[in-house]
Amino acid sequence: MINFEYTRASSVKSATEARTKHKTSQFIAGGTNLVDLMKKGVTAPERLIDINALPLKEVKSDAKGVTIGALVPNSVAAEHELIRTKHPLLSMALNAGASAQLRNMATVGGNIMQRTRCPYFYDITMPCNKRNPNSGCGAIDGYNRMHAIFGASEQCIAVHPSDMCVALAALNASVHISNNGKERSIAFADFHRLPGTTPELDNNLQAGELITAVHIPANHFNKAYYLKVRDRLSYAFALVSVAVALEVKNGIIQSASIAMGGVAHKPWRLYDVEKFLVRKSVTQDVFTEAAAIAMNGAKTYQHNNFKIKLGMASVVEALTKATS
Amino acid sequence: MNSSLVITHNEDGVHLFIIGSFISCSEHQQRQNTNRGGKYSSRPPTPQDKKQMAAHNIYFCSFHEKPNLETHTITMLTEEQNNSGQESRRNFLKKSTAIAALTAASPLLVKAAENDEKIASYFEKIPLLLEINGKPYSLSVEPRTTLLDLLREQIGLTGTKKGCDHGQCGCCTVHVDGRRINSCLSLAVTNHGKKITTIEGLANGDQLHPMQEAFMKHDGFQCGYCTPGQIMSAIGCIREGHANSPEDIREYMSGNICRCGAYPNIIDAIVEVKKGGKAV
Repeated sequence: MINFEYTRASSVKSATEARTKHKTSQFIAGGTNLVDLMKKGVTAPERLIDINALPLKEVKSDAKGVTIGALVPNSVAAEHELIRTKHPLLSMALNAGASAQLRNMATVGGNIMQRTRCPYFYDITMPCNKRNPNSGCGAIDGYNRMHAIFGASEQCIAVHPSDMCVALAALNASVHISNNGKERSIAFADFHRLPGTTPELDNNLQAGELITAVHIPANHFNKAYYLKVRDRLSYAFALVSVAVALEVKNGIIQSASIAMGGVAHKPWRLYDVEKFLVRKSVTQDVFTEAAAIAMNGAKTYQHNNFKIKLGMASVVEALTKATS
Repeated sequence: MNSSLVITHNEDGVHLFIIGSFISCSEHQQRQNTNRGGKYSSRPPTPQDKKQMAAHNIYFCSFHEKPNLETHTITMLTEEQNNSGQESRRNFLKKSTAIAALTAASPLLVKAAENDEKIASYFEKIPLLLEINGKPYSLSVEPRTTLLDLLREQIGLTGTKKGCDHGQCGCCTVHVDGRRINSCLSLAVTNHGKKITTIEGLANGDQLHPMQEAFMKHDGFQCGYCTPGQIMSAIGCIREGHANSPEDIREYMSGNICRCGAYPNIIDAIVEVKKGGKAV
């Protein structure tokens, strides 16, 4: 690992000021992704700003919803009474990610900021437009079994690896951001980007901005399920995942919010499926029809054709599990 | 000669440690600074320096100058500390940097003292206080040192193993403030002030920890390389309340890979400790 300068920030303001001042700096919290990327030589920030001492570790609830501090560890969020009771979908997604050790280290803010696990991004001897713009994409004609089927571009077909973010997208969360004393908030669906011609940008965060919290608005969903399909039963990234949140009354779906993971450069909301499901009854036929709609517009590559069939089966399974 | 500056602060004052001889230390700083386009000279503090000390609000300062000793300790008590017993990091850094400047007599360092963001530029190593297996350590580490490398290479606690070094195998599992983590993905400096427990810290004298006993009884290993990580993780698994069934254990132990495939015996060991009901 290339050495770097290290400072500990004592306030959100001083952290963002330091980040703005030093263009090649990065924030570090749990470090589970950043340290790995630095060991691999994928990234080499000249300065790390340690934000672990910042007061962003609370989970709070009010009439508007639940707010989770950016430095709350994934394990703490997953087990938190407020999350388990009000947003079980998020607990399920968090527990489906990584391992118990990593969930103890990784923070909610860091989870949002984690980078793709595309092997061509990680292997610095390979071309990758995300790591090294204009060097080409190794995956597009390479071994692309894990890659995107929605929203990809000629420059990049990587997927976002997070489970937590898929649930947060389905729960219409927003990301709270601070920069030199100025606060703003971005809807979760607008936070991450599609690769387009700038795959080096994972999200719409501006230089110097720090995620301070995630807010989940109160909702009427009474059925939820997070389904993750992977190469082994635990501790692997998703081939496909589905986060389902439904409001069901007397067997009729009143509202639906569904997002998929492992299929795109960002958590992929199934807006057409959501519209289709409203006022439909909870039946397998409806779910099967919904699954077909879910795959509209999918584009596969040489090795990830299976994701269409797997994606449809996963949508049916997640809807079934949520409502049973 | 390898030498470096280490600054720590605790309740009784601010300490500037010069590891290596006084002259070597200055040469070291000189080298570093030359690389950055600056210049250094070394000399003892002058009346002018002492005036600067006063300007930086340093209330008391004692120098123990014994040029042949390996380590020099300069103990300072600031006025603020005398009054409140506490001080902000920013003030602490300003003052401690001022002392470093006095010792090495560099106007560059005095300037750097105005801005705590600059501090790391001038010191290769970062002071770090840790409690490891119940013992306090005052350390000096490169920022890039992982907690795993610190434990193995600097402290000499080689019970914690390096497997993949990328957070994928769990060999390096230790407890930080009682919670299991992968020490290979944790920068040592981000654990400042934390309590670390390694496999060496489990036994009470000759009395093994119940989980260690259970692993032996159930043959929860073959080659044994993953075992320290498995045991540390197994304790975490029970503490977190996720050892209620073999299925539960399999899921919550999935971060620990055993290439020999001792999983069924590992699960038996964890089930037994959980059923035994002893505090882990």
